[in-house]
Formats: sequence, structure tokens, C-alpha cells
Amino acid sequence: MIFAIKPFEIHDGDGIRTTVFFKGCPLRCKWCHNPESQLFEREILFDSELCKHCMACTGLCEANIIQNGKHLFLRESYTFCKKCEDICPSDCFEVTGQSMSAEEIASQVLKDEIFMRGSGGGVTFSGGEPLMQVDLCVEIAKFLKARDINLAIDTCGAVPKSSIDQILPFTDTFLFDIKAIDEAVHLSCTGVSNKQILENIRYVDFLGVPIEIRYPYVPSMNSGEAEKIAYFIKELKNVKRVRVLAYHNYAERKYECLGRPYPIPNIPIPSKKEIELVAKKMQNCGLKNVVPA
Amino acid sequence: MKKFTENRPFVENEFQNAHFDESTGIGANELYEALQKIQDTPTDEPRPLVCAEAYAYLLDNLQLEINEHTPFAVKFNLGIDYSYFATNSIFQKAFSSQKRKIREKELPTEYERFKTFAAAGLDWMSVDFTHTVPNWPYLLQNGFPGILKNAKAARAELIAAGDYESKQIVFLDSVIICYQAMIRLLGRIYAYSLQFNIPQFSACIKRLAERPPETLYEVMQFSVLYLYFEEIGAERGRTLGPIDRLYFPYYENDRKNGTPEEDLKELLRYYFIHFTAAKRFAEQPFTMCGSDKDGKDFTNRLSHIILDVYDEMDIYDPKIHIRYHKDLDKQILRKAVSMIRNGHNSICLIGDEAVFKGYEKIGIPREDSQHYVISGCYEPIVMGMEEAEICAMRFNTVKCVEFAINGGKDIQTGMQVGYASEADIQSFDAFFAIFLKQLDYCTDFALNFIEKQGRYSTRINPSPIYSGSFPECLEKGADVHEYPLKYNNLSLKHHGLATTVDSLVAIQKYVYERKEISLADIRKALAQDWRGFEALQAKVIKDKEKYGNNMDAPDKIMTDILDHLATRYCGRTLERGGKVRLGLDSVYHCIKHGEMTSATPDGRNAKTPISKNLCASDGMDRGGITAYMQSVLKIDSASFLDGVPFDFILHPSAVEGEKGLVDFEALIKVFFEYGGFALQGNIISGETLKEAQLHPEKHATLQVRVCGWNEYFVKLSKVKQDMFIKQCEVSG
Repeated sequence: MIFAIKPFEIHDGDGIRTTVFFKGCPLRCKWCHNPESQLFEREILFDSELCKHCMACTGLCEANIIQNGKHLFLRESYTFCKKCEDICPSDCFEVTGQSMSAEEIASQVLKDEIFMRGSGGGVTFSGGEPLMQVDLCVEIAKFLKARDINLAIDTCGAVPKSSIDQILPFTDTFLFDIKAIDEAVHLSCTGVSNKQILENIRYVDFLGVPIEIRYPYVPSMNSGEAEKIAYFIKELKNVKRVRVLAYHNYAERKYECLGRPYPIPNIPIPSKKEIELVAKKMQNCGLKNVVPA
Repeated sequence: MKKFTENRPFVENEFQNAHFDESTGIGANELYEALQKIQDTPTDEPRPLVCAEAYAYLLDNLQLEINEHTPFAVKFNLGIDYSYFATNSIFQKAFSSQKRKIREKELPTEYERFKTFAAAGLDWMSVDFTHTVPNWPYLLQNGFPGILKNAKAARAELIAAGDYESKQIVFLDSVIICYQAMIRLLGRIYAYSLQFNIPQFSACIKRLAERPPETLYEVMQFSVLYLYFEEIGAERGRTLGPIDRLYFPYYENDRKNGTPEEDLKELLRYYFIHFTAAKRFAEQPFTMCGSDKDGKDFTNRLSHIILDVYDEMDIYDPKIHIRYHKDLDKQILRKAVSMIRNGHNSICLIGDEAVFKGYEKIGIPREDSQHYVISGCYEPIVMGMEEAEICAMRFNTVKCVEFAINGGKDIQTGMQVGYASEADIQSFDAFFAIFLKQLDYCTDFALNFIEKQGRYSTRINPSPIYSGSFPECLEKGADVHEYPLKYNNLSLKHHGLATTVDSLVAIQKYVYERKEISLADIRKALAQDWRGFEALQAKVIKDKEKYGNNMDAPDKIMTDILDHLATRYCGRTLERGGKVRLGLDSVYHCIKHGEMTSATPDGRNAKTPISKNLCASDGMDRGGITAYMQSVLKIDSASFLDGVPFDFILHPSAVEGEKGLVDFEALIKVFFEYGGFALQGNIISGETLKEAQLHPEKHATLQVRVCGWNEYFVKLSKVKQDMFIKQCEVSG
């Protein structure tokens, strides 16, 4: 199950890349900017701000009704018949999550092969957590490797070591997130322990595969982890780049569209300067190539 | 002279704030009346002489203004309104009725038919006098007195040989009259300039009246004046030429003579700001870089200086055409890409290889085509060898879908414009064939009408000033529009193609494959602007199968249409001896022609814009920039020498940072490596985002980089949009 294939991605590895977003993730990061990536099944996004109450969708199924002269979407009655999505002139409805075969995905991403080759880019598997669907990843990777396409795996790391082993022969770069070194902080931010994650990072590093580390910096959540993360990375040998990603709340509306509350509504947005200072702090711990992003 | 930065405020709006000295001549209104009187007075005198004498009268009497804040100090009172784009000088206005008179008198049958086309918005079928590319090397080599001397010598030679037609002498006399008038005007400017303390300018003008230009300053002054002079004669020199190459020997000579580079840069600043201020219609282009026939890069030191100065000035007029090739100087490419990313959307990259192949297709070898420059937006012309009338026809292809649906009748007016095709069409193949026949029917008429008008070019608009820049014209005693050059071509342009293709896809799918609506009901829906058919309209609009997304079905229809046009028209021999060239750009006609077009089967409402250039229909390129680029790359650009433009929109955040710049450059290189013709980018500003916020329906595909991925801007909440706008403004 995937929820998007996005071409011309330049922030997920070297060169121009196409990123495949897999649906489903073992973590529940409170700042998650892709909430539609968390569940493993299809979901419906309904954007009430776009609705002009034209009523074109009402009467087609039980999920769209008129109440007090206005349109009302009943999420619990929605059955993915897609009639409302087809007819809505304002694009209020969007089903997220699609089952695709490895061949279909490969064929889709290879449409941009000329750009990957021309820029030293490739394909990135992201999510969600791609390695939760490692068999599908491997199947797609086989198609890509047959054409010598560079592959990056953007993983949260919270997967069995065996999954890493499965994808490893096809992978050129691993992009790991480190949310926290302190296990309690990690648990409170993501709902799961970080033991497996850190173990997997060390393992990949031991095997000599190039790594990029991303540190999503979220004030008052994991902002005290910068130096600890830096010292952890310093012990690794194959980390090519560290990126400090600034928290933002642009995903808040997506939560509304999914009918879920936004987990952290009152977290301040860090300034560009703050992120630069965090990067500097990590550099002062002896890290090279720390990029504020 | 003070520094440019101090003088800039007194120069950049000088045309809008002009104050002409009444003591220097006759006011524009009075001059206009005099010119109109000349136009309206019946005479047996040949038209070229009437116009030349009127031109000389104008130059002898127009008022001047001197601006001491710029080395390009003189302006002429031509009654032009500079509030938007400068158009319609008094000479143009006085003589513009001639085209209609000739059409009425000489081509009455065609003209009557043309009127029905024009009523349907298909009104652009004419000889093009406004996209001239003067033979700059010949002009610079000879200067004003040199051209005059050569014209006189050619006349004497013809007379001496005794074997000539009177029209040859008439032509040469008209050149002589005009160039003599220019030199007299230079004398007037010189004398008047002595009242001011601008000795360098005075000396420069005096020298240009006596000999060809010899320094960089003189060359620039010459080109400023020549463009004026051509334009006063109702034409339009569209490009300053390949100024890095043209001006390099003068730059080098100045440097050898001890002029500091900074002084020459300062000159360049004044030169550019002159064109910024002059606000010529569609901006003043120049070309730079490129390769010779063997792939050797033309870039020189001046190319770098030009780009640096242009960047630092933060202007968009003049506009730059950079000729791209695989060995283009790396610094120039990186600089240009960086400038485009920083918002210099007036830079257009043109692929040498695609242009060379396009020329080969119409029989022009690289030996000659290596000298091409871009004359308007995207159209190459081989400088010094070719006349191409690049805007002779601009045709709204969407109308042919309308005609195919409606038996050749315009839906809005009910007039029979296309041929009377059958109403009951049983298959999509049959429908498509009728569409192509409508396209041929209309294009054939346009080409025939333009060619016939071409026979009367020198009666409509004699071109002695422009023609004087070609030794062939002088030697043969023939106006450019009597076609004495090596290549005498003509261009036909078709546009609105994405709207056309999406409409054909919709007909194929909903009428013939799924049978959700009959052709008769489509006809009804379009006539009613989709009223009563809203559900189907929404469905068609949301259908993802649209041109511009690298999808097989729509892209195949696009290439089928274009292959048909290429086979039928590209390289067709004209009665003048040249070849037909084809082009696909629309510029702003997508709006004007959209207003004259009924609702279309792709769900578009009546009177709204049709698709622009080769862009996807508004908001329909959902597959992103790489998919759109690949749709364009499927087109055989060699058959469309007048332009296969790829213009794109990206938010700055999509190509941010050093990596973004490198990847953006890689994207551009891939485009040209795979045969791309022309590329122009819009990196969207905060202002555009504000517009998108007001009109989200027009910007459905505008993407912004949020963090690690792109989002559609219009999908963000207003609060977030406001934040983004603010961030854009803060980041500049």
C-alpha cells in the first residue's frame, strides 16, 4: 500500500529523485507531517474548507447528507464507493492509499529515469515506513537495480534487522531519522522505544553503507537531544550528512481532513536562526557536514 | 557624468516623464496631421517614395529632448504613450490604414472571407513587419553614412548598367532619402546637444554622422538610434543581436586603449536601462552565447560582464536569450540558472541543437544557421540571411474542435467559418479526421491570404531603413519584402494545443468509448456553457487524463496533430521562394482568443483563457514538472522552428539551497540533451502566491516546498498560506 509517488524530489538524497511513499508506520511521532502515512489501510481525507455546499455529492451514498441546509460528511458511513470524490467540483475528497504491484510502481518511477541519470539522482523509498513492506520494497528494488538506478531508503529504523538485511543489497544510501537518544524522550514523542532504531543505524554503519541522518527538531519535545544525537553520530563512520529539520505545523489541516485531532497544537515554530544554532551546536560536538534545513 | 546609481532615478522613467523642447521642432499632434495628409492625398508617386519623403519630413521636424543623466541622451517626440508598452508612433498611426485599403482593393474576395474568420477570433493572418532582425554586422561595419554611400553606389551602378526596372531605382531612392534624413537628424541632435554640458555625447553623435562606430559607446549609441529610426518607420527591430559577440571587438579595443573595465560596465548599465525605460512592446531582446557549426562555444569575456551587470541591475527589460549547447561555458550556465532561480524570469534558454535541426529540416545548413538570433519570444532568425515574418499567422487551434462538433460553424455567432462537415459522426477516428480537415481548411486559407498580401508588401509598408541593412537589398535594388535575401521564409503558428488535446481526449472517452453523452448533447452543453451538464463538466475536469502529464493517450493525440501539421506545412515552398516554418507559442493570445471561444469539451467555460504555449491546461499538469517536460519532449521540435517553448512554474523552495541549484541545472541540461527547444522558468514570488490565494482555481498545481516534500499551495489553510507568503516575502 502506498500513498504517493512524487517526482522531482531534491531533498531525499542525491540528485533529482522520485520518492515512493509507503503507507503505514510503527511510530506515532506527535509532530508527524504525514498523518495519512500512519495507518496501513486506505483513508479518506475530507477538506471542509473547500466545500461550497453545492450538494452535488448528497444523496449518492449515506456518507454525504444535508443538515440545516449545509453539506455534512459522515466519515463513519463512508464506504470508498468514491461517488462523492468523482462528482465534487471543489476537490474536497481525496482517498489516500493505493495498492500497486511492484511492477506498476517501478514503471511509474522509471518514467523519470532520464532526470535521475542526468542529475546523479535516483529513487527514494519513504513513508510511512517503507521497510514495514519490505517484500514490496525488494520487488521494486529488483526492477530498479536491473536498470542500475540509485536507491535510497528513508527509514525510521524501527524495523527488524532482517528487513534491513533484505533491502541492503539494493540500497545505495540509508536516510535515518533520529528523534531522540534518551529512550524516555523517544517513547513520549513517538510511542515506541528507540533501541531497535539505534541498533539498526549502528548495524548499517558497520556494513559500510553511506548514511544520512535527519534530526527533526521540535521545541519542547526533543529539542534537548541535539548534543546527545551528535555524540551518537560521532561514533559512526559512514554518515555523509546530518540534516536538522525544523518542526512546522503545516500538517495540521491534514489531521482535520482525516478527522483526527492535531496532537501538539501549541508548539512554537523554530526560527531559521534557531535551527542554524542547533546545527552549530552539533558541529561543536565534532560533527562535519551538518546542514540546517 | 555621475555614477549610474545616482543617475538611475532620472533615467528609468524618462520616457513617461518626457519634456520635449518645443523650440526643436513641431509637436506630435501637428506632425501626425501632416503625415495623415500625406497618406490621404492622392498621388501617382510610387508608395516607397511617398513614405520615404514622409519619413524624412518627420525626422526633419520632430521635437527632441536631451537627458543629461545618461550617455544615451536623446529622445524623440513621436506621440507615444509609455504608460504600458510603447506602441503606435504617429508614423505607424498615419499609415496603418494602408493594409486595409490594399486588402479591400486587391483581395476583395479573400478579405470578405477573412472577415468571417476574424469574427470567430481567427484574425491574425498578415504580413509581419514588426519582427525584423537587422543585419547588425553590416550596419556596424558601415554606419549610417556607409549605408547611404552604398545605396548611392548601387543606384549609380544600376543606372550605368542600364538594365534595371524603375522600382529598383524607386527603392534605392527611398533608402537614400531615409538615410540622408537620419544623418540630417544626427546633425540636429549634435547642434542641440551643444547647449548642454555633455561633450562625450555630442562628439559621439557627430562621429556617427561621419563614419561607422569605433568604440563600445559608439556601437551602443548606434544601436539605440538605429532601433529608433527603424521604429519611426513603422517597423520594429526585435533584437539587439548577439551583443556579446557583436560588441566584443569594440570592448577589446577600448580595453587596449586603456578604458577601465568598470567604465565599460557603467556604459552597459546605462545601455540596459535605456531599454528598461523605453518599454517597448514585449520587451527588447538580445541574444548571447551559443555555439558555431562545429560546437565551439561563442562565450567570451563580455558575455560574463553582460550577465553580471544584468543580474546586479535587477531588471527584466531588455530580455535575454541565451543559446544553450552542451559545451556552454559552465560559469555562464550556472550563473544563468541561478538568476532564473532568483526570479529573473526574463531569461530564456534556447537549445542550439534543436534550432540547427529545425533549420536543416527546411534546407538551411549549420554553416548558415550558426548565425541565428532570437527575434521575438522564441523564434530564431539567421541574422543577415533570413527574413521569416515570424508572426504572420497565429491560429487558435481550439476553434477547429468547435468546428468539428458544430459542422464548421462558430458556436457563439452561428457563422459558417470552417467547412460544412457532417453533424453525425460515428467514431472518434472519423471525428479526429474531421478535426484535422477543419485545421487544414483554416490554415490553407490563412497561408493563401498571407501569401497574396505579401505581393503588396511594398505598397502596404515599404521598408527602406531595415532593407538598408542588407547588402543584397542594395545590390539588387529590392526591398526586404520583395524577398531578395538568401532565405525568405514565413511562419505559421498554432496554439491552444493543450485545450485542443484535452477536448479531443474527452470526446474520445465520454462520447465514443463510454457513450456517457452524445455528440449532439456535447454540442448543446457547449452552446449552453455547460449549464445543465455541470456533473459531467466536473467529471471531465477532474479526469486525470490530460496533456502535460507524460500520459500516453493525450500525448499521442498531441503528436498526431503536430505530425500532421508538420507533414502538411513544414518546409512547404512559398510563392516567394522561401519555406513555411511552424511554431507553437501563443504568448498572451491564449487570453484574447479564449474570449472568442465557446465552452470546450475539456470542461473549460466559454470566454475563459485557452491553454498557453505548450503548457498543460490551467491546473492540469498534476504530474509535476518532469512529467510536463516529458510531454513537451515528445514533440518533434525540428518541425517547429518558430518555437516549442517549455515554460514552467516552480516555487523557490522547490529548488532551494546549493543542492537545489545543482539539481535545477541538471533538470535544464536533461531538457536540452533530449532535444528541448526553449525553456523559460517562473520561480513564483509571494505576490503570485497572493494571487493564487485569491484565485485558487487557477493555481491548482502550484507547489510549495513545505519540508522534505512539496504541497499544493491552494490546499494549505489560509493561515498557513499567509505564513508562507510572509516567508516568501522575507526571503525575497
